[in-house]
Amino acid sequence: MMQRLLLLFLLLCTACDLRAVNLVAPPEIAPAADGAMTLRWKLDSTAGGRVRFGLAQDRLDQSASDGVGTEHTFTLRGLKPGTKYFYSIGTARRELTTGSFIAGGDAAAKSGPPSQTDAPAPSQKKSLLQKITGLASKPVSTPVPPVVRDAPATRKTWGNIGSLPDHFARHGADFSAKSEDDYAAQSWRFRERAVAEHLPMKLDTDGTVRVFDPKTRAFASFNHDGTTKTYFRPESAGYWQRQPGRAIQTPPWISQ
Amino acid sequence: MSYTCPVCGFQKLTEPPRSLTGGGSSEICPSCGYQHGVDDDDKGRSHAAARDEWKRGGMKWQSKSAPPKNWKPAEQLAAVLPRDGAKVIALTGCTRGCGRALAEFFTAQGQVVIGCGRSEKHIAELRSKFGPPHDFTALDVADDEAVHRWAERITVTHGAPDLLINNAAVIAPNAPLWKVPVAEISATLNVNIAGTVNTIRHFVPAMAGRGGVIVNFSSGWGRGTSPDVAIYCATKWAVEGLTQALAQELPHGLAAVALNPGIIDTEMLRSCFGSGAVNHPKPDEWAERAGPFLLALTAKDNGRSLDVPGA
Repeated sequence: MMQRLLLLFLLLCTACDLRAVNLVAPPEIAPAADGAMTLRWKLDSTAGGRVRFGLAQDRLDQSASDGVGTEHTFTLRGLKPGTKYFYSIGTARRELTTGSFIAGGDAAAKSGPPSQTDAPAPSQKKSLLQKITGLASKPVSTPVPPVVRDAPATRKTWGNIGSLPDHFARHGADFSAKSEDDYAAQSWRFRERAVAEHLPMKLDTDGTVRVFDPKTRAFASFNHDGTTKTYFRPESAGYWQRQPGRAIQTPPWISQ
Repeated sequence: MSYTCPVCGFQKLTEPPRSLTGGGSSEICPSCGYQHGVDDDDKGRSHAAARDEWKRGGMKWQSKSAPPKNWKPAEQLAAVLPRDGAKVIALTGCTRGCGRALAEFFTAQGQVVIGCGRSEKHIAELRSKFGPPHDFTALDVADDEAVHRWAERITVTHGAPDLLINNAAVIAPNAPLWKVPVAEISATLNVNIAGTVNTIRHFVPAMAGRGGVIVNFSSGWGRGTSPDVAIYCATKWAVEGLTQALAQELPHGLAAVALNPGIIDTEMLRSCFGSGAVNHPKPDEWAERAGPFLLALTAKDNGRSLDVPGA
């Protein structure tokens, strides 16, 4: 009986895998302000988004993730103009496509088909100014600056929006936040940085994710869907150690 | 669903102030301004101190949002105030059997019960039945880190317990020692001995300054033996020895007592006695005798091996 149940479980797992998420079109890559580049793609079902990039195909040492959805947009800032960058986009669990672009270039856009690395196809948007090329380049050791994404609207990032004024009043000064929106945006950027920099995270049995940066002593608590519960800088020693939960690498909102 | 603030009694919190494992909700009570998981875990503010401060300030609404219509702070506060002279009782293994019966008895008596047990489901039930000032947390006493967190938090929010009852225990299925699976042996040793040690280690430093009684549940098998329960006997003999030695170590004002609860019709007894267990008292009947006996223990009882009356 147990063997049959195990077989059924394995079959269900396989079936789930077959229904994995895919790109519905090649990713769009376009220049943004201040030399930044924007990567945008759409999925055929909801999942978290993840981009990894770097100066060599085998060293995509920068990454960023976002929440669950079908459309994902990342702005990569601080890029070196004229430099070739390699990228991989997908979900937390699965790479969907790879490619490269020239930062600050002005070539016509091309992009790869879903789930294929080196098969360029004509872009459908003339506004795309960057060229996606095949993956063939020598590793370059120049450090890449961190990714900074624009925070979504506060109503999408803060869990209980009615509580935000009280949290801002109490903790906004911890981060020199200028407004409730600024405070919420900072907490959201902390969430992004936590994933990119692998900051310590704990998952409680009720789905709460607690994150701590030992260097800056910033602490945040997030709901299961990634919205913020609170964001502050604890004063007492051992605060992080006192928080319950199982250590995790990937939070639930991107582990689709 | 809404939840009650243990500081001021406001009954419309959006989350439980503590997750089942004890994590703070991070919610700021709009009524009293206490942030659960921050004021306690970070600032070290007890519920009582925060409550007094709020009362001294005139029990004003603290949130930038508007208070509910007909908000009556004095009425909500009355629901969470411990009665005068109530004891804070830390009780392990409170989800089933004798522990559950004691939790029911003590809450009915107006004592403040700080309970823990492994089953999240049963802890949730206890929380639903007994709100603040009682506090129930899901944890395994064999997990030293979890016990440490629990003791630290409780000491901040409720103060050191007046009575620490080490009731949590497990028993392996009846079998000769050499036929007991190693996992069962480990679990019995870890819960019955290490679990008792863990709570003592983490609560005694706070209790030392103000007195209190530690009751370690022993057994008839902590003073005698039977076949097929050798590991359980070993753990309960260990509890007796541990308690005697601890009694010699404790600072003035604290007491350690080993207590034989007697034979009670619990799930544990049924695993040993089978259908014969029904001939023994039910846990709630037993708690009517054991509860007052436990509340009457004092520092003068230090080092005694006692039996619940009628056991």
